[in-house]
Amino acid sequence: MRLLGSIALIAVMGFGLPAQELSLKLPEEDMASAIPSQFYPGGLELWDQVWLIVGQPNAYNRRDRALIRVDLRRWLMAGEVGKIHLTWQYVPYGFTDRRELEISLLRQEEEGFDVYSAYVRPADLLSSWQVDGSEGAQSYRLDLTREANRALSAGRGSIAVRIRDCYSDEYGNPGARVQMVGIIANSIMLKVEE
Amino acid sequence: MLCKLLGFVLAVAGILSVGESHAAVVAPEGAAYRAIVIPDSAPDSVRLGASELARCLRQAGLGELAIVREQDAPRERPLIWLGDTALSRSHGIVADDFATDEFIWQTTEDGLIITGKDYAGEAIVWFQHPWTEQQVYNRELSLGAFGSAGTLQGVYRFLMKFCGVRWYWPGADGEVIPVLEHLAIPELNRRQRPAFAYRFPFFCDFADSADDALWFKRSGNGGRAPLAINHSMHLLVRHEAPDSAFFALVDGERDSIKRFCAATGIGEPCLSNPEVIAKAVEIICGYFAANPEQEVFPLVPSDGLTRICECPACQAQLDDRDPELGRFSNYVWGFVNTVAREVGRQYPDRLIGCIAYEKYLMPPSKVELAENVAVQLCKNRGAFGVAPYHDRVSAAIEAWSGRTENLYIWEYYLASTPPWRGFPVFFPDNIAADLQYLHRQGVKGEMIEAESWFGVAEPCPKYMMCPGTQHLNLYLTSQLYWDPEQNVDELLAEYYVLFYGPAHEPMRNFWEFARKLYQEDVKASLQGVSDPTNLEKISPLLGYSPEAMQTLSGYLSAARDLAPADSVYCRRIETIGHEFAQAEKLYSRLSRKSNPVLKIGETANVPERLVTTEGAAAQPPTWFTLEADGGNLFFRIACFEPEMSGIKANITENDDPGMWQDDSVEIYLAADPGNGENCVQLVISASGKIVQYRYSREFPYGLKETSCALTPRVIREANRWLVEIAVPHAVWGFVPGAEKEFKMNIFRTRRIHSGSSSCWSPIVGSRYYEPESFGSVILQEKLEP
Repeated sequence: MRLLGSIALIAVMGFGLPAQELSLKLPEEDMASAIPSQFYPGGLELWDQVWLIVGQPNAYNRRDRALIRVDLRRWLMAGEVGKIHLTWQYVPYGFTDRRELEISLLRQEEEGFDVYSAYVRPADLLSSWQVDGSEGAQSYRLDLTREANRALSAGRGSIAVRIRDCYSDEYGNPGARVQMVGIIANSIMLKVEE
Repeated sequence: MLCKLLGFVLAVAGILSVGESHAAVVAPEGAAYRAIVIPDSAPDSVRLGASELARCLRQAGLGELAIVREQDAPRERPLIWLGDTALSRSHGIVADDFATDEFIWQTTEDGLIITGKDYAGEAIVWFQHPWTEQQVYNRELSLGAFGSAGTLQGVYRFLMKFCGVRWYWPGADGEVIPVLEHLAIPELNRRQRPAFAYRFPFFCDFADSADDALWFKRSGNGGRAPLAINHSMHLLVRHEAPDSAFFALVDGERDSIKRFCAATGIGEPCLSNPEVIAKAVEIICGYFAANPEQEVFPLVPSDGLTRICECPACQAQLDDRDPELGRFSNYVWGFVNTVAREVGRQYPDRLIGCIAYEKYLMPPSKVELAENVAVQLCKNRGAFGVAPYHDRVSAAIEAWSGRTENLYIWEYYLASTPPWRGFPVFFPDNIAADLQYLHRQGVKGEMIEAESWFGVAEPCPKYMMCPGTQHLNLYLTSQLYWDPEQNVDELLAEYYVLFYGPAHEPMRNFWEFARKLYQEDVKASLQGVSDPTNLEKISPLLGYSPEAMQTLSGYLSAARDLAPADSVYCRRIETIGHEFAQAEKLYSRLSRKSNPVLKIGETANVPERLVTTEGAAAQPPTWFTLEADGGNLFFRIACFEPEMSGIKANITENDDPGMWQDDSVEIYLAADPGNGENCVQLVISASGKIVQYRYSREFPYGLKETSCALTPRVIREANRWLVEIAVPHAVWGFVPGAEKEFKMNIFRTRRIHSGSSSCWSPIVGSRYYEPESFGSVILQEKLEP
């Protein structure tokens, strides 16, 4: 199984942190993999690993989206943060071409992180993430400094991003095949320079 | 009564069946009335009476009667004569001899006379809430709450008695006008006056709503002039120097501005000071000279009087025989009485009024009341299910009724206040029994504090709040003011049929179930409540079970099924249903409510966010952190504000009792984790100033500390203002090491636009001081002192 091979690869990668960075693991309730009728706090358990799924995790036209919420409360009193990045490890599965994934910032993220509504809540495009399906496990780094400081300035204690697969959102699952990007839940880290 | 009602309808039908060819109102001798006649210069209330009479008769299918002036009256008879006309005078009716709102119906060979004493002057208003022109006069209708309107009341009572017209709530949907098509008037010679001369349910601002103003009158309410008895000491002290001996002496300082004695006002005077007495006499005599239409002037301490002047003359008047209800009676009533005697020399027919309230609710033991003292006793008949409270009020009324001829009531119908808004709080039996009792005791009338616009953005029109769930108590009360011996069950039986038509059965069930719920089940649950009159501090969960809520909801659903869509019955049920849905929502929230718990160590914790007072997400956000060491609590409160230029930060001195009128934060701290009742309140303005209060069972409205030694720091930034304050444990009686838990709540009051409140732990009522809702703070490590 190519997927299991990728997981093994991640296990030996390791991460080196710059000394000034604070690295935080996000709690499970701050991440979710969601389809319109279901959600899985902390992600979806597959193959003995917890994943946030983007795309089609099985033969059905699920069009899963991933949701990640970042808790900013510890910087609220200071009012701003120097730099803040979100990083994660991911594995493409079931396709070999390039897929465009869209990362959006949910509007007016509030205290109550409701993934039911977060799946479809209004959001603003943050960045476009190109995933090469021919590669194995990879990592991604998302700069959220500007968005976090905007939220802190407005007194909001969190922000949330939503990740969707543009292909499956547009075409569905014509071949009834697993075609997804799996974000490894326990790899999601928040890196902060205060 | 239903039989009577049906009989009435059948009688009309019978008349129709014998072949009357014209719809008409018919005089006793059989001829139809031809017109409505009013005096050539009729007062506005008589003109209104004429138009109301013509409109209702027309809508009842009884034809069109023209309204003509006396000089244009047709020669043909019979006519309906309204007001003080030559005809009424020729029959010996002297309107000026009538009591306020008294009227007569008299049939003569010239027609039907309806007349009474009719005030024709300018609007009778007072200069303070709730009797200002805004509250008691509608310019559009030229209609005021006060001034005798005997003819108008004669018309309304005529329409109710002979035409079956009813006004159950304000506006067209509250009006019932049966279609009669023929009406025969019997021989009449009947004078009628209300059993209570003063009837002022305050549920609307006349200026904002013609419908509500009309409903007030249609229901029979009014009085000669405002019985304007309300807190008024500010009128005496407002021009005095702050350090003057005019003010009460408290802990060595004068009670000017800082409210040492009372929770409101601008400082209480020393009531033993001869200069204060002379000043009161001068102000009152000046007022009566300039306002001859007024009959009363108030001398009432500010709200929340917990201390009085500490000079020997004042202290000598304390009466500790009844510390809860009579400790200040000699002090307050002695002052009122002295001033009344002096004013009485110049104005013997005017009254000096005070409320029987708080620690001066009982009559004074050492004062013989002058004849011109008016007493307005504050009470809540809705809480009469609680026997000790009922007994206490009865004892007070009986004590007062033997001491004065001028006894009035200040009543509270405040079920439209959260958390009871939308619940069908219905207590008809309390109303009937109490009004019968008050009439026997010689009470002359009452005001009902029935308004609540709490939670509604300002400025907003002041209509009857929650008419669907509030109207029935007000309607019945208004009717019983005229005759308290009326049978409530009969009034309700006709109400169910007339008001809900085909849906009357389920609506009868709804209201009768609500009646039982409030008068029996809620009563039972209130037995242990320390103050059953203070609804805002009592959770509806105490009396309304989930099953009861479902039952009420079920009756409304059944009624909806029976009322034709778009019918007036449907709209009435929907109005009630809409209000009850709010109650259901609140009930659901209260059922889930649990107070927050915060665990803190000696290091900074993650900020906690304030929510709305109902527990929803509050905007703009407010966050706080709390740290502790052996000597202090350290608060940081961040008040985010998108309109920083608009914040209100006007307070310039510490200890100002008006601190909360600025943008401000408030911290409540109670050292006893089992009881938040004894606590300290710190109010910190956005200007950086602070005032401190102490609360206890003895001081439920707070006792202001004379000088707060705390030094908050307020930092204003572009997008927020932050409060930093260290609160020594000694300030609030916390003993580190002995306790690891305490009670707390934090509020932010925002003054921009319509204003808003947010808090850490949501509250049930509308007052911030709600110990039952305080959250808990747990110290994870025991602090060393």
